[in-house]
Amino acid sequence: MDSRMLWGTVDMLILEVISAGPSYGYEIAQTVLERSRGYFEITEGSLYPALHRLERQRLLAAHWQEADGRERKYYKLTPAGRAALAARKKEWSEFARGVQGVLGGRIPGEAGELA
Amino acid sequence: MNWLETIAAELPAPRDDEPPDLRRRIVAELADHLQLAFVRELHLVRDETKARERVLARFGDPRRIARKLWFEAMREKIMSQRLLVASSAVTTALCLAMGLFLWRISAQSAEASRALIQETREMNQALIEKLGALAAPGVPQQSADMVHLTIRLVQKTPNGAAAAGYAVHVRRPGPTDSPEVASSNIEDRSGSDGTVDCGLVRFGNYIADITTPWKQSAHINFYVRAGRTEQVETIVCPKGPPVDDFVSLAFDVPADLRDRELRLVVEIRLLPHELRGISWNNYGQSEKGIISPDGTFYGYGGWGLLSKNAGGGLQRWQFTLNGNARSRLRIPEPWTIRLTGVGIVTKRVRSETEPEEPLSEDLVVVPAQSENVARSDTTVGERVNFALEEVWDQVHKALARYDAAQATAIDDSTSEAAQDDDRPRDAAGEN
Repeated sequence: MDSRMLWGTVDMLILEVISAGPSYGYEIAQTVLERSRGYFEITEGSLYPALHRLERQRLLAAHWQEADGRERKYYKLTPAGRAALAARKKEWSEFARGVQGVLGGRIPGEAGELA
Repeated sequence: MNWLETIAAELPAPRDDEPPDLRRRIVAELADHLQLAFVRELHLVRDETKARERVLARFGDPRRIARKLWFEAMREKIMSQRLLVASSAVTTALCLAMGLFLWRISAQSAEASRALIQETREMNQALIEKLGALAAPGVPQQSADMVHLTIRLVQKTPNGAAAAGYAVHVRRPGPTDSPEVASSNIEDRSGSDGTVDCGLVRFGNYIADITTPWKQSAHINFYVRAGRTEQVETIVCPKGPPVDDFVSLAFDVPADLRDRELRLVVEIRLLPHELRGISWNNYGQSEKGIISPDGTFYGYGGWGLLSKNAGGGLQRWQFTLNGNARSRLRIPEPWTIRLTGVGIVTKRVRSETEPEEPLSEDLVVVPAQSENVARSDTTVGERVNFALEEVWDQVHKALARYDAAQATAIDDSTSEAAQDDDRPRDAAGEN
């Protein structure tokens, strides 16, 4: 896909993945790839700067934990991160409905479905 | 695989303000990711080299990412430091610029001050030279313009005793409000040696007003001559108050006029006292007054007595003609007494504020035809005789006309009164 379309949604995708429970960089990237059925592939060059930025914004909290004989950094959602995620999901839904409405497709969440 | 050295290879040099485990944590996190990816790729391709290449191809340059994460973590401190450095540089530059500016201002000010000091020195030097030239002896400017003036007062003769306690006012002639006259005023009183030190005065005409302790005064014009350093102006003054003369006025009154209200009208004039060509007036001797031998003697104007027609040195006196009157006067000499006529009283004025005697406007004066003047320098003794024969003839005629006019006025008023008396009666009769 065009990376410009992914640009504004990376933070929301990361927060959504972490909202299920503490996770680490590699796992987050793989989860996004799997959930999008290979559509969204967040490169490490984008993933880690985003994680660190969200951590500085107090939307994520991090802790280190030993795994496989190495130190691994886990991220979890803070209350502020959870509120931010809800706001961004709502914003994205409104955006998607608008786009879908223009494109003539079914508007998610509405009753009935166009043939 | 050991990814640690690969990732940390291009991290910036450690900083003092860097968190102690920052770079280790960055490297550890990325190395964990790479190791997990390597395991997965190795499972797929079964070749470590290919697996590593696939990991790096997918991941990108881990050194660049590590460097980016480090800068992101250190951004705030680095920016703060850079801002501090920049502000310090700007402050330093401003200080340098200000210092340069002040240095230039100071240099210009110092230059201006040196020029001003030099100019002041030159002006002072020129002034000192000018003052030195003025102070040098024999320079005509000083003696030509300014003279040390002393007023010396002596009594009666130029070699007389010092006149002490006399008021001296030296001034320039001209309008009193002119700057030259106003600035030249010198007022003082002569000391025990009879002198007044007027200090340096400019050459030219001057007037000295001298007033004796007994209020005689004189105005002396003199000239301060140029070309000398000092001038003593000697002025001969009276030694003491003028001598009072006792003067008796004698005249005969005809018998038929002795009961009439008549007054002798005379003019007494106090003459200036001449001394060495200087006139000393006698005005202000009001306390001398007049002594009346019979209690019916009054003055009008002058000398501080009851005054109606005050003015100048010419006085008019009226004498009650009371039989063969002898009026005795005390007058500072020199004097003159002039008989001007005989007055017929037409109205008597009596009040607390006015004299018992009639005022001049209440008299019908019969003027003397001939000159009747007595002078102090020709009068021997104190008796002054006036020849009044021709005056009495005129007085008789004037009185006849005055009496006739009075009789006519009385008749007229009586007649009018009689008519007034008749009218009410007629009016009463009608009623």
